[in-house]
Amino acid sequence: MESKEVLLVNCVGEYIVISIQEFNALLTNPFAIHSDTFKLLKCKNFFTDYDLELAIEMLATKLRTRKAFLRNFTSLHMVVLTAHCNGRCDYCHASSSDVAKGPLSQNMRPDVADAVVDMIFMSPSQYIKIEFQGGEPLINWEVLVRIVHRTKKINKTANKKLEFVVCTNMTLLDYDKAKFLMKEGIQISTSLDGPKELHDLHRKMRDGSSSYDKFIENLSIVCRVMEAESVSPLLTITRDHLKRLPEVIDEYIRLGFKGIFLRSLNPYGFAREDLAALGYSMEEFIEAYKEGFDYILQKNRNGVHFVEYFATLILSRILTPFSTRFVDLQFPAGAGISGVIYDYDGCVYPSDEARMLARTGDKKFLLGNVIDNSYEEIFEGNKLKSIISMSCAEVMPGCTSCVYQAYCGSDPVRNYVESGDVMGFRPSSDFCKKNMGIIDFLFKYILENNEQVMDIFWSWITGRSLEDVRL
Amino acid sequence: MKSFQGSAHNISEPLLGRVARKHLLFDGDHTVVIQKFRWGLGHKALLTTNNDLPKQYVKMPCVYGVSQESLSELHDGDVIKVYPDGNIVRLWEYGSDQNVIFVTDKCNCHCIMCPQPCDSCSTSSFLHENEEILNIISPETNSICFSGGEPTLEPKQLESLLAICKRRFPNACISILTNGIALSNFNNIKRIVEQGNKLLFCVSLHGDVNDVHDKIMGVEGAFAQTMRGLYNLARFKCWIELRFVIMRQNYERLPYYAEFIYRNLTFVSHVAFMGLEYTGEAARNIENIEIDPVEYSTLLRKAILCLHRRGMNVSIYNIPRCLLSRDIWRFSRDSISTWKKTFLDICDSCEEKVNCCGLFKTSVYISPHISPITSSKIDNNRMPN
Repeated sequence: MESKEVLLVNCVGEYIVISIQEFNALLTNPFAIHSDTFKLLKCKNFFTDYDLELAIEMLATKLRTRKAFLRNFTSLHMVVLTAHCNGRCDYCHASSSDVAKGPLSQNMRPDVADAVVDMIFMSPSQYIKIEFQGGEPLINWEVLVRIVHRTKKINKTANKKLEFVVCTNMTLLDYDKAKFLMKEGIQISTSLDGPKELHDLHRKMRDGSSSYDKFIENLSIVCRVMEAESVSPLLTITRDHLKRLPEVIDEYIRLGFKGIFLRSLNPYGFAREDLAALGYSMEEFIEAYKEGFDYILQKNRNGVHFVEYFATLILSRILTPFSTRFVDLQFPAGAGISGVIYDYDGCVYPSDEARMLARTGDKKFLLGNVIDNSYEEIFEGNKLKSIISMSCAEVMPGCTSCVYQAYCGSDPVRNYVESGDVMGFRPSSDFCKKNMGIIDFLFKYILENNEQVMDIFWSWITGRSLEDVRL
Repeated sequence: MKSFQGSAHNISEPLLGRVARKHLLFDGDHTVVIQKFRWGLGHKALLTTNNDLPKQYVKMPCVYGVSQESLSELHDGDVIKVYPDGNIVRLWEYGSDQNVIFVTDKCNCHCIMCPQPCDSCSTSSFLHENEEILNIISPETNSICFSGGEPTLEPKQLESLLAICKRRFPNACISILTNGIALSNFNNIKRIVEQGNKLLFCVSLHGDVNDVHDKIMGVEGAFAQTMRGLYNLARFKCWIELRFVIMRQNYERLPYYAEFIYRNLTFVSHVAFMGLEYTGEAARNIENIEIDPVEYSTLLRKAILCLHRRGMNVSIYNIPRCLLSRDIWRFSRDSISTWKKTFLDICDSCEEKVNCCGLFKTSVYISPHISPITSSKIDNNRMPN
């Protein structure tokens, strides 16, 4: 944006760009500004000059729509089936344990699993998504099957809308397991860090084999059994990826995936211990993001429908009136109230990151245990309330006056890790730097308003092909 | 509405009835019967092309000397009204989806472009006649439109008409053309909606800000009331079509209006942008409101693009294709009623004539930019991508 222009955003995410002169005039006497700007500000609900009650009702309707994700309470339930993993990725956020040493003491026990399922059904949400996590969840296959069966049995009377996802490196998949996943409608979330050499660089198997080769082999088994859309891979960007995102994107497209999430490395688990070798500054990440994003945009221009999911989330927030739940980036935070995680031992944490933090010794966010505590103690306790009340943009220093507030979110666990304080400290926050940087970047495209680029954005937002979106 | 003229005989007050061409006594080609009863027996009156009245029917109400052309336009199942002066008006055309029931001629607005100015203090009631129409039209009728005046100003009448529809045409698509003001009253809507069929409300909203809309409607506060009405309709999960008539006063708002709809009224099922029909008040105020579609074609394209990208249904009514950017042709509909639709002579060579909505016969203004579309011209005149 030209420095002579000012971007204004209201509490429901509607925006307008006006000249600095108009902005100054607006501050002194709104009625003195040009009538077209006045009308624009009025139709976007920045102010009203005729019917205050209606203006409030319109804003309230829009706010309610945007915050609709709060209506259902906790719907994402992550279940850590095991802390063991047959892989030993350099950046493992979850600090996984070895599989070879003796009995698998860090597998979820059947009685704990049953208690977790019962707790999940205490949630008032009509939508329940159960995400199996690890370690490598397929190591504890029997308990995965047990949970699926128990959930479906209870749901015969509970009648909730169920979804299952298993987060797996896919190395332990075989035809029968894939069949089961297909039959039960379980989606696969997996990892893919690029072409073989780049993927194997940090995604290491404990037995020394190539994780890439096994991934490709099993992907073909899965694709024989399930629809391709049931598998979505996630990329972890290390320093080695920064300059090579186009290669990674090409690999995703080559394997038939429809999009990619360009996310920065999070400071948890092994990644935090080894930050010097794996990490990078946020400025470096933003530069890499821009390069990757522009590469994706070019692919779309050339007729390949390929989505960048983080941009799609932010663009949806800027360009649509709808609610976009994203547990890691929403106000108030998704911690506990949108998503929750049950560790293998039955301990309950408000987010995956909180459980990762606990693995490294800090149990600050532990909400309770499914065996010892009631639903009320865990979900209605003071601990969760205080976390949430400190994650509302309206009261967070730095966020209260930020122009991007309506598009952003908070992550109290991340704040705590970064600054030692749940509320966080914006001036030195990498989280803030990243979101500001990327929203700035995307806004440039929006304000440029190139018809082809906007068509591509809308095809991402509405999940339609480019042909369906454009004139 | 289509009307014909003949010479009346024995008609002392208007007669309303259903047309039957096939009848034991008459040949259908030259004489048409107006049925006396719903189930088809007996006859109320005759329409005939004969210039003299056949002697045996001297006592029967009759219109004679009707042209053969007029008579052949009447079909079994049409509902017509015959006046003592020999005028014949078709109130309902069998099988057409353009039929309109005029609930009242009262209106609470004074739109500067109203094609059918009404009498704001009219006391005439059409209830009886409307009930009769709904009671005698074919039970297979699948589309009924209620208009006015402003139909919501007679909620009781509207309710009783809707009750007939619910009973006789439970699956028909019922639409109500309204300015939405009276719908700001929650109970008004509640009573109307409770009558049954799923209703489509076609609501006029000619601007994204109060100043523009209120000025067009001639009523201060209209915008706010209509917005409340729209929220109420959403509460009852009614189908809503928004209608935006493009004129001098609001054409600059087109792109902002589209964005406004998406942000605030996302629940509407359809948005229609409409060209002007220069008749009635619109003809009287022509200097004030007149705008050629060519002048707003870029802005209209922007508005269409905005809504289409966002996955909303959008249409263009009453604007001929030659005045629209080519890439928005697919949004234009055949919106002008057959009896009002016309073309210019030059349109005969136009390749898009069959897909075009045409022009209003009733309009006193015709764009000077109307020109036939031919393949060669399409290539030369590439519209922006």
